[in-house]
Amino acid sequence: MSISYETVIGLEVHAQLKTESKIFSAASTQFGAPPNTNTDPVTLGLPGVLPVLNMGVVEMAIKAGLATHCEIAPRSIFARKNYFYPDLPKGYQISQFELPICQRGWINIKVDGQEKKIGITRIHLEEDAGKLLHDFGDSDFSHVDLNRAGVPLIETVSEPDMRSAAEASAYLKHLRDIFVYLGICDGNMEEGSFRCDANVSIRPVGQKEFGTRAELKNMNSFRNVERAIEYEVKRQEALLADGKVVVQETRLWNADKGVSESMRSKEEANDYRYFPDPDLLPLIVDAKWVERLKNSQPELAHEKSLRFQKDYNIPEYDAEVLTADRSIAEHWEKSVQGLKSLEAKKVSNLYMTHLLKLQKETPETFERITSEKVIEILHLVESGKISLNMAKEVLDEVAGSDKAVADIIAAKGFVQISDTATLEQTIDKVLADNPDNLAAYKGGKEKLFGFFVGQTMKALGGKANPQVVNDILKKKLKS
Amino acid sequence: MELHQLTIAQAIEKLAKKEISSAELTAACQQRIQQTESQLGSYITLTQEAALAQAKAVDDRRAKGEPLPPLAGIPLALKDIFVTKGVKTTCASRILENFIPPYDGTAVRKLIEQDYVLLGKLNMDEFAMGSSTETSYFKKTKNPWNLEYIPGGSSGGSASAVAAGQCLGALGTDTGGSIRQPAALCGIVGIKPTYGRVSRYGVVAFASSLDQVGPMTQDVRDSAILLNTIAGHDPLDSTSVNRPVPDYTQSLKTDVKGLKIGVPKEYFIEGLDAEVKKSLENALEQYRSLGAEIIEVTLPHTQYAVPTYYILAPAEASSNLARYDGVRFGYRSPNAKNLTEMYQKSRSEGFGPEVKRRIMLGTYVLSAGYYDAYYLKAQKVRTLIRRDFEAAFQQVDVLLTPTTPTPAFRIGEKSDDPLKMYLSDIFTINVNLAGLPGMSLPCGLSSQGLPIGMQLIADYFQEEKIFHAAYAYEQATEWHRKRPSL
Amino acid sequence: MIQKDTVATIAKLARLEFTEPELMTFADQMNQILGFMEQLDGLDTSKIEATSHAVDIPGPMREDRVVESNVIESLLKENAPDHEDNFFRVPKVL
Repeated sequence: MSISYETVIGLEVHAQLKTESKIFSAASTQFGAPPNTNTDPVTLGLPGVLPVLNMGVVEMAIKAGLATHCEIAPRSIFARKNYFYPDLPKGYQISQFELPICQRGWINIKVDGQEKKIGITRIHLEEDAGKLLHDFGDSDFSHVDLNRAGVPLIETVSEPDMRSAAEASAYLKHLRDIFVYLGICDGNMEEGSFRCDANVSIRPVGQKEFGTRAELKNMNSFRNVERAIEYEVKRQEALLADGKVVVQETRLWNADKGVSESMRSKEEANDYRYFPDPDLLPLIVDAKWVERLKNSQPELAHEKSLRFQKDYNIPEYDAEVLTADRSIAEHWEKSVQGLKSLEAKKVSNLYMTHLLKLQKETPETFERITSEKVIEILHLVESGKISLNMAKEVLDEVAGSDKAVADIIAAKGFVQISDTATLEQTIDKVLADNPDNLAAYKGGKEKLFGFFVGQTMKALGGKANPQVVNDILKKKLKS
Repeated sequence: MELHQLTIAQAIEKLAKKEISSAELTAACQQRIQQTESQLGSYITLTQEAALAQAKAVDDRRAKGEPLPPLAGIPLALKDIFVTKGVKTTCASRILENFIPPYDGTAVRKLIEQDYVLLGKLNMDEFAMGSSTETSYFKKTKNPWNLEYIPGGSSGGSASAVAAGQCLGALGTDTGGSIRQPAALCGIVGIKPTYGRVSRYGVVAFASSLDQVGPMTQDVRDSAILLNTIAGHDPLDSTSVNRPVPDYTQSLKTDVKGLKIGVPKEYFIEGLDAEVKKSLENALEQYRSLGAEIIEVTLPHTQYAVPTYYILAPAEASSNLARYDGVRFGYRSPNAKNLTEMYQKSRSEGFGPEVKRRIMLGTYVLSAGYYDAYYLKAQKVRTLIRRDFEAAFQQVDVLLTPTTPTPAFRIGEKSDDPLKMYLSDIFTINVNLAGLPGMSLPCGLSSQGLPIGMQLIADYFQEEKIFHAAYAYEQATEWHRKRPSL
Repeated sequence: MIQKDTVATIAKLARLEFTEPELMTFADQMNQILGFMEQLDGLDTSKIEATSHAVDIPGPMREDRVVESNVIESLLKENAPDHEDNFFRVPKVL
């Protein structure tokens, strides 16, 4: 009989913080600059330079901690992690070791409709390393670019609380959503601004002790995290089935081959010799600062979704779609609040069927569609001046030009006729021109209602307000 | 009196009165260097043309009646640990033999803002690791009082140059006594200010929690003048303290009536040279006669300072010196065939034996399994040493001790015995561990004609008390006027 | 007592290389120095907090602002042991 195993996963996530300058110096963090131009004496680790902590970094770390229910340490310490590598200018990385800025938090994830709480051990601050290029110029050499060196990172270490690749992926997505929502990280796994290492082990179901774990690296998408973990679990199960043991090691995921490879041969026994950085005094965070940040903390996606469902009476699905992106959620809510009578659900439909598509396809021009513009246009829908379909076309024009809404509508000839007198006149004429159909309708052929509507719309060049046309027609046909 | 013998204060006055020009003064120092440098070996780099050009520029501006800062046109020199933009900065190491920094450190920038004249960069122990300036990759500096003796270290080039009149004053750095010990052995005044008083930005780091910059000068007034210039908060140094800088020349008073001077009994130990002891007793007598009150105090953990220091300083140094890897600047071994060899050969060929010894020690005490026993333990003892001083300063204004257990020793005498060399810092190391200000000033000459120094220590940011006590003593004695006959 | 192979391990961590006789000398000297440090063992420090810094103030912070610096060009030109285009160049990292 084969033993059944339980998977145990803990994740270490590195998120680059979206500050202007580096964590310990005033060099720029801008992505994509020419090699080594985002450097200064501190970044380059020149003799005599000293680090000075960026307050923006601390603020973002506190926000991350608050959003993940962590305790914010009133006093935390920077330590040096010593090792040699060409992308590490000082020969040590400034990180936090014994006293990190955030500890003991959690977030809730949802897998297959089940909620689960995942513990967060700690979130600490550290500096990123530079980059090595292995295939530039002469192949006997590697090339060092230190633009990324000193970019601020937070490392979030989870408890070993996840039991499947799906849970790990859900945790990772949720964490990313939180950081993106907070505006502290752009969450791009492919570009490396959001990176994940996974500690994976298995143990017989019911056993308390953890099995020996492998650390998985180099997974640059959510999909690859799942694949790598699934592969690792199978690998470990196969080893144990063969009567072999799992060795503690670091393994690199090779997405092309769909396998992970041991890094053991390349890795020397490391002894990082952590000690408190004498150049940096303790980071003191006073309670008032935390309180201020707590009060200015944005509502997160999950809370926002619940509130939208309750306050605006929209379905869960709509609420989740709208709140997936903080800027869209805020955009939508502002629009809805600016309207008088249009149902929130209708506005939600407009966003989901049309505006989200515009945002995705033409993000550069989407900025022109402010909530104010949406409100201005939807007011015209409310007052019956234009239809929702017309509104969509107007929105397209708003995105594509700087023209005023009124001018767009005028140019398109989008003037919806809601004036009762005009409509009655036209309807009377339609009825008078079609005596046979009128008789048939009155004789019970109610399907012909649509015919009369169509004739009326046609007579008015499609600009009649369909709702008003319906109302008048019903009244007239009854009499 | 020759121009190169002027104190900074005298030179400032003569320049202001236009009795002399900066060009004359600078040329006088350069001539003195030319006469004596082959014997002394104080300098690693001379900036001759730039110095004269700067002196002339200041003279021109003075002639035009432009307002000038106090140190304008004063020829000074810097220990080669100060990062100077465009001027080679070697730290007396092969690994930085050709390093030309692209920036200026903060203390240097403050001197530049004063329009000072830089004569050159001074010899030192490699990376400031040493007490005799014998570990320099380039040369051994001699004591101007007797060329067979060491000038002290690590700021030995600075002390030698100031004592010999090769510059009017200099800046040094002090991690375990590197300003005060050579000042004592060369018969000049050297102050290590409170940790955090002077910015460390642009000073090549040895042990970051202990390093501090300070002036090395012919007398106490010059010391105050230079400290006025370089002290103060620097946003580029997180450990620099934001506290107003007083005008230290205002503390130069001769009346010490009622001043409480503490004498720690632990400093008068076996192994203290009899002549040094005698000089200290004479100094105490001098103070007594000036009306100061002498009080015996105890610093019970004094004996632990040297072992504590030689755990903490090498630990920090092992990490601080990791950046010398041959990647971005400095020496890269031409013999390296791969990346591992690039690291190992560049560092092994680039660093001298004492530096390697300290890197090894520091790496060891931080390594897994030993951290608690050595590093953490030493940090705790450091707390005890700090508390000793805190208790003492409840009772007294300043402490008076010998700066060194003996006058200068012979070149080569201790260079093969690291531990013996380390013990020569026994009286100065405590002050760095506690972070306190301390000054060495001349208080005697041995029967062999070698200078003897005494050390004044005050509480945090109480440099004014040191200047006060030092100036009163100096004015009452003649030691500071003695100069080597070179 | 530190043995020669411990010294060799430490040397590797510190990226230093020594000849056999040098390793022996270092082992001797380190033993002498570490032996001297043993006098700290006699002190009871169990209730003493560690001092990492000589100053006891909160660490300062700076505003998140970029300050342009132009040192890279001269560093590459005057100081870099080896460079290609705007990169520092090192023997191939395997």
